[in-house]
Amino acid sequence: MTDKVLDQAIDWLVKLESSQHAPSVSAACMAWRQADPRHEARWQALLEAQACFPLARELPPGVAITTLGNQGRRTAIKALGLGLLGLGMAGGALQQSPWRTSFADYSTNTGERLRFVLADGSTVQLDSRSAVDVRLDSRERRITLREGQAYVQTALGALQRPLCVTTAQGRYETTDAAFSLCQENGYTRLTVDQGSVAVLFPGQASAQAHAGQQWRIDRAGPQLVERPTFEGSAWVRGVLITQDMLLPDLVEQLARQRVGWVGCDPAVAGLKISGVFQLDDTDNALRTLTHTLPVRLVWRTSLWVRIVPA
Amino acid sequence: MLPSPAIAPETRERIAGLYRDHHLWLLSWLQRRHHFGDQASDVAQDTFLHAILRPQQIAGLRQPRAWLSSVARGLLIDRYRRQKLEAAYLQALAQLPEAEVPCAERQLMLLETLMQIDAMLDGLGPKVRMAFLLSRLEGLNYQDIAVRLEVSLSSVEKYMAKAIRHCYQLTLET
Repeated sequence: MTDKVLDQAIDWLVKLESSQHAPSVSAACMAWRQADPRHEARWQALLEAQACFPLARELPPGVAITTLGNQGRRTAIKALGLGLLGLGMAGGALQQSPWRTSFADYSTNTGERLRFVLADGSTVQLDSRSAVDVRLDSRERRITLREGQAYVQTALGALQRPLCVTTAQGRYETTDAAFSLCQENGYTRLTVDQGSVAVLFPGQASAQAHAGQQWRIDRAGPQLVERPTFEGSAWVRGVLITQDMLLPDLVEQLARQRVGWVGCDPAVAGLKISGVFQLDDTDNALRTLTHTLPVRLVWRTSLWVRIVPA
Repeated sequence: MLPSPAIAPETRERIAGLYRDHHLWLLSWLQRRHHFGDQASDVAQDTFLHAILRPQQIAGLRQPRAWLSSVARGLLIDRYRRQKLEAAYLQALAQLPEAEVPCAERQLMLLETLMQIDAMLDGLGPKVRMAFLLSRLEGLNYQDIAVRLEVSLSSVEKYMAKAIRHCYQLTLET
């Protein structure tokens, strides 16, 4: 049964709301509803389906949306590390592997950082809102970065097995290095502090990333960032160090550390900033923006802030 | 004669077998899940309870561990979401001036409403979800939503249509 009436009802509701109930649209919508009892029935059913929303509006502004804004099943699946590896366990594949010596999932909440040592002595530090799976066995050391960013430092004199980190874009292999990997939306950022890391990208020759370099790896492949706008591994020391960084990019980095929402008005999106910001006090970091840039902050609640022209 | 409400003997046996052979494995599988180590035995019990209520699925089970862990996985995700939501909610309430904080009873009822909304919007993309929440919870008009999400007005209209249809279809199913 095709549901033409449903399509029309949705169309009318959207038109009506989009026009902010303009009299001409309201009248046309009413005419449609009255043209056929099936129209009116469907209209009422649409409204009824959303009946739980007005209840939530009893909460003070901002509460419902900050509560619901960051939720979602996909986030839960990622954060729990219940992706492919979990299913692998379910099939019994890992369970039957005698070489599996250690298996762990680690994750952090917003504003939290976590440092842990792997069985081979390598250390991993997770930034706010990050998650990794770790697997060590007799042949390899493998870390899967599921979300956020991780700083990996291989153990001195560790076994010859390579340490391999996988993100949504490519694999990163090293036997001796200190580096930061960040899973951004649609790309990975690699910053090498010590040693070197091989960037393995499907269908391309591997690239070698050296100490002091920042790389961006997206669908097209790995690319050296000639002039980075911020230090990719400074977060490990709790700071963000920027050099001519666009304001929205800076906001994105700060937002990672905050509960709630930070927005940037398009009118100030072209501003650039250089400086050092403390990641543990992002309220203060945001306030310092107003000292150096022609911007001001609009707070709706302490969790809702927007940067607008001064 | 009326069908007996009791569990059929062969189902009982199957569940017992399932429990005997896989309970410890499931428990250790759950304990490895970083977030829920302390709730592993609760979730394991819930998983077997889920199994008891679905005798026809148990009867044809080929890979019991795969099935058990996928059920446990669903239960874990639900618990995790509820906990996250509750934590975010309490944190948001904590930021309010005292006069605006609803009374405890109201808080709980509103939390249930938020959980209902969260479950309802499950499966929608992040932008569709946010557009709909901004409209329905914050009362923003489409133009303001477009500015806030940095998309065009026609995108907002598309998002809204998608979310409205989604809610409607959900209420039909239940």
